[in-house]
Amino acid sequence: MHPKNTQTSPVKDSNSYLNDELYLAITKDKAYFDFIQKYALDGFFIIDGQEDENVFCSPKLLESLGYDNTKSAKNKKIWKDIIYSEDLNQFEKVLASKAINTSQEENLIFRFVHSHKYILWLECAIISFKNISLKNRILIAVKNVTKFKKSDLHLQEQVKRYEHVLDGTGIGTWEWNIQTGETIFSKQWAKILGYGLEELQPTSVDTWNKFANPEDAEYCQKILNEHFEGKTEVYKTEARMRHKKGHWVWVADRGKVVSWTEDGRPEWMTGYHEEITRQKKEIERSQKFIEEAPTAIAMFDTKMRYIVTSKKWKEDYHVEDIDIINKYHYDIFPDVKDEWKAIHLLGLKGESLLSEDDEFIDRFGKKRYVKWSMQPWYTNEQEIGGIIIHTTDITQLKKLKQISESRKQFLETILESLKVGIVSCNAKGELELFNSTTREWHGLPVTAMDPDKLSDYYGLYHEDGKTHLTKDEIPLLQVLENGYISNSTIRIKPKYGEDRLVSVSGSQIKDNNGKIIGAVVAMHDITSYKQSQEKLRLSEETFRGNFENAAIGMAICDLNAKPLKVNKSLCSILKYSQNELLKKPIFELVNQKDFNRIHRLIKELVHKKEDHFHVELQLISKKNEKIYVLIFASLITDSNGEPLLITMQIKNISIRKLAQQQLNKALAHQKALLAASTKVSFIATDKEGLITDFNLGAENLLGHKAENIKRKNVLLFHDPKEIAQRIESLNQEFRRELTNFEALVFEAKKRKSTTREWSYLDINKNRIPILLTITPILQDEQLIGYLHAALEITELKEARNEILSLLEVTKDQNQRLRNFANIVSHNLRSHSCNFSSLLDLLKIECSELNENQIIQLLRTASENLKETIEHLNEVVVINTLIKENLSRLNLHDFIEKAVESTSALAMEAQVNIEFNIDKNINILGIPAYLESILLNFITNGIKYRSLERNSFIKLYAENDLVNGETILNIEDNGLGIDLKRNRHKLFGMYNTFHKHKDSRGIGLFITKNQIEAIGGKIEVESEVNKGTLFKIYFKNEEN
Amino acid sequence: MKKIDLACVIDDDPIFVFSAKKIMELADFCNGFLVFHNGKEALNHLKAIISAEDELPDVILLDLNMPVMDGWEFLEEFIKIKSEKVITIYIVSSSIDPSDINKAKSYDNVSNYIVKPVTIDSLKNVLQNHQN
Repeated sequence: MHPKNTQTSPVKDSNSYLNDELYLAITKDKAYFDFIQKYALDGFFIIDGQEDENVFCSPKLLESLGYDNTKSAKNKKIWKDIIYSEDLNQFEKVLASKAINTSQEENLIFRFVHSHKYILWLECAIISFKNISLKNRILIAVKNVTKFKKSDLHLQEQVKRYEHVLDGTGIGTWEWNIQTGETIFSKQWAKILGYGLEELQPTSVDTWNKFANPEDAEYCQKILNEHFEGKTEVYKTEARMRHKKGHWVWVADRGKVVSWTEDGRPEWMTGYHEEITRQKKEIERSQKFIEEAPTAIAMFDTKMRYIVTSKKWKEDYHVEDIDIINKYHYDIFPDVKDEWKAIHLLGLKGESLLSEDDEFIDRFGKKRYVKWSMQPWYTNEQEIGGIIIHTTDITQLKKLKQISESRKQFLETILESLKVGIVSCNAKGELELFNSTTREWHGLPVTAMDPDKLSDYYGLYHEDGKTHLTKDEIPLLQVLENGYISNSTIRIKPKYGEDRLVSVSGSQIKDNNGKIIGAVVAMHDITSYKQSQEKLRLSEETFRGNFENAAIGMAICDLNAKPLKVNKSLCSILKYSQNELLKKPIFELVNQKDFNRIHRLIKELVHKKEDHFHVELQLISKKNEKIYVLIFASLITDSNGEPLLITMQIKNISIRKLAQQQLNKALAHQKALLAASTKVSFIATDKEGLITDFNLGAENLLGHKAENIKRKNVLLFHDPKEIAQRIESLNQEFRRELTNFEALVFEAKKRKSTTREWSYLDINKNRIPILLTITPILQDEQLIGYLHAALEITELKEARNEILSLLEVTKDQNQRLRNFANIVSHNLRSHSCNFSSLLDLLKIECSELNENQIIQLLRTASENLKETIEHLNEVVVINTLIKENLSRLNLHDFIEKAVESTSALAMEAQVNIEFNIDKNINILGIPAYLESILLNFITNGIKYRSLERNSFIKLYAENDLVNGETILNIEDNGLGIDLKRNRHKLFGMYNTFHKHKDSRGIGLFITKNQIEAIGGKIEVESEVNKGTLFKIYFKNEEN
Repeated sequence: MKKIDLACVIDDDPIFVFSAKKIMELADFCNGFLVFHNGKEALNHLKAIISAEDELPDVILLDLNMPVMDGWEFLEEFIKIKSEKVITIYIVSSSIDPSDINKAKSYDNVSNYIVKPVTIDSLKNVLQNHQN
């Protein structure tokens, strides 16, 4: 089927022909011109409607078809040669219709044959017109569309190939006219459901509905509507469909509207089905796996709808009560932050992300912290099916962390701001931390290095600044190693910067188990301290000297007023040793009444309300004396003005104070006397004798009223004669001329108080003898007046006279008594002695008279007389003995001797004598008397023992220190004395209370006298038939 | 026991003198004795004896309480007399006043103080002391 090749030229004279044929049409109607312009890109030809032979080809067209354009432009029936034979019929039909029809244009593509025998596709625009001779002509404008037509063919081939491929992959295609309901399903589409396509004929949209799971269909409809509304690019869903064998198969459905009606409704939609049952099963398995996962996992689809979550997820996000599957994540959590939405989008684009620490606000508005990871999951088609998010709630952990974080921050801040150098290392001795102060000092940051090099690198020296610290001497390493620092003062000499002397303290860092995990040291810059210390030293030495030897008491106290240092003077004031004082705050030393005062003052001082104070108060010395002191205290502050110490100067003003007090006391006393005494006259005068005070006693004595007598001269009450006498006697003695008043106060003016007898004249000029004491009144050592104290002695004088005469009588009687004593001693005794001598001689010379009863009685009488005289004599001697020549006698020794000398007697009488006397007791006495006293009591005790019982005599003594006495107790269990009847006679002369052959009644009398002669006394307690206790009081000290 | 050659008793009490003589004999005290009734009489006689270079008594028993010149006054005068012979003086008195006893001790010439009555035993003591 190839067109004949004609070598004839279609047009001979084209220009004149075209003029004839087209000119009129173009000039008459512009549409023709436009038509040519628009369509005749590759030439045109004009056909005579009546004569097929009459054809005009434009040279362009000829050229396009591979012909020589210079040959015939006008050719008979030429198109039969150049139009492809299969299209010729169609072409002629069109021509015929055009020849009849109007100028309505029409575009059709016809195949033409190139001169080289290949086919060209030319688009022919056909229009009819009338030529110059008004004959119908047909104009065919030609556009070569071969290129487009070829690619179209190529596409069609490809489609065919794809269809084959699709058949092979098991994908079932579908086409659906939404408007008509017409559907086209592929074989494979039917095969997925287990059918042959022919089994499903005729197909319609209901075919799908018939097999689809109603539940899924509903969902698909929703997705479909979204697609129709243009919300989605692609319709994409999954649904279960009923297999021929009755089970459900999962089908993924994808589709797209491919054509739209003119009014914008979707028309044709194509798509495909793919069975995904297996994948679905896998997903279900995964879902189960996810659901049961112990961690919070959620799987989302591409729309962020929940596919599955683990239980933990529901718990963690408080959605246990909500069915969240298929719900939008952002509906469940409307507050999801944009940042996360963006992250989800990234995930849906295939990125995997994670965060160790993120925060969000949970459903209840609480801030929570999570660690999360997110990755996309892929469908079978390797498309992203959604994302899986995995989270761990770290809120609790975070809280803990935050606490330690803030604490760490806090500590770091402190470390950094401290003006103390802090350095720490780990357990290996590697430096870990320098705070800012340390960095500043070293001029270097913390650098990891071999510990051996530390000393050199950081410029660590001994205090002398010359020798480097060895590794073992570095404080930090020492602490780490040993837990202590041996050289706590080191010098830091940085390569750049100043030297520093630092004091280092440190400790090991231990973990909770006590394991050493490092060490830390703190360094204090003591450079300036050392320097100032040096400067201070000199002045301090000076101060110390002053302090130690100051005559005034001094103390340096801390802010609690506790002495840190006291000097000797203070010790001597308070009688405490230095060490004792250092333990006593000043508050413990003050008298209780002054406590609040000193406490308040110290408080004010310490709070800097005052910088010093002075106060007078009482301190209590170690000996409990009240000591008046004047305290001057001042506050010493440190360089920052903070209170540091209190210094106190303490001056003993006791003497002054005491004097003052005594004066006050005396004054008060005198005032009281002056005011209250009604018996004694007190008149105070000034230095000139003018009366300033006149008490009630004076009023009573003199009859004057105080108010009338003030400012009058005291001489008013004196007898001028007495004054004159006094002047005369003083004049004789001192040869001085004196005024009356000077004579009266002569001694008092010399500040001596004197007492003499004067007479006062009362208001009625009656003379009153007085005893007048004139005392100078002193104020601040200055004489300011005199006090005249007068006691009326009228009665006193009389009494004195009486006493004096009594004394005379007594003296006289005493003398007579003495004489009597002498008579007794000498005369009476002489006679008695003569009697006994003569009787003795008679006995020798006239022995025959010895039996004579008269002589015997004479002898007895003589003996009795002699004895009586001896007793009398003893009494006289004692009474006349003056209490002198008393000596200290050891009571124990005397008693021992007395007991010894009576031991034979006691043994015979079976009386047990015990004594228990302190060997140190000495008493005052006369040896002979003491012997006599002791013997008398002991022999008495033996003599008057009871025969009804075992007798004893006990002697024991006690000292009465207060009265300077020793009390000797002599106790027996003898016959006893009826004291009710006999007490007053007990110690009388010649009284006996026992019917005893040895009773003489003189013993106790003499003994009592002897005891009293040596200054003692005696007491007795006794009960008849029980015993007697004598208490003998001896003086043991000289008065 | 060697007897005293001459003893002198100065006492105004004739009863004492009588009994003293008797006791001296009984005690075999002396070969002979002089008796004076007061200090004055004794002093005069003794002075006369000294000036006559006659025999002076070895022992004088002197009473204190005597008229004219008592024992103390006699002692005062007697110690002034210078004699080559040592004469032992015993005060023999009824006074037991300690002040008398103490006063007696203050005289070097007074050997002892004998409280009356004089007994044979007390004279034998004197004799014994005298020989020592």
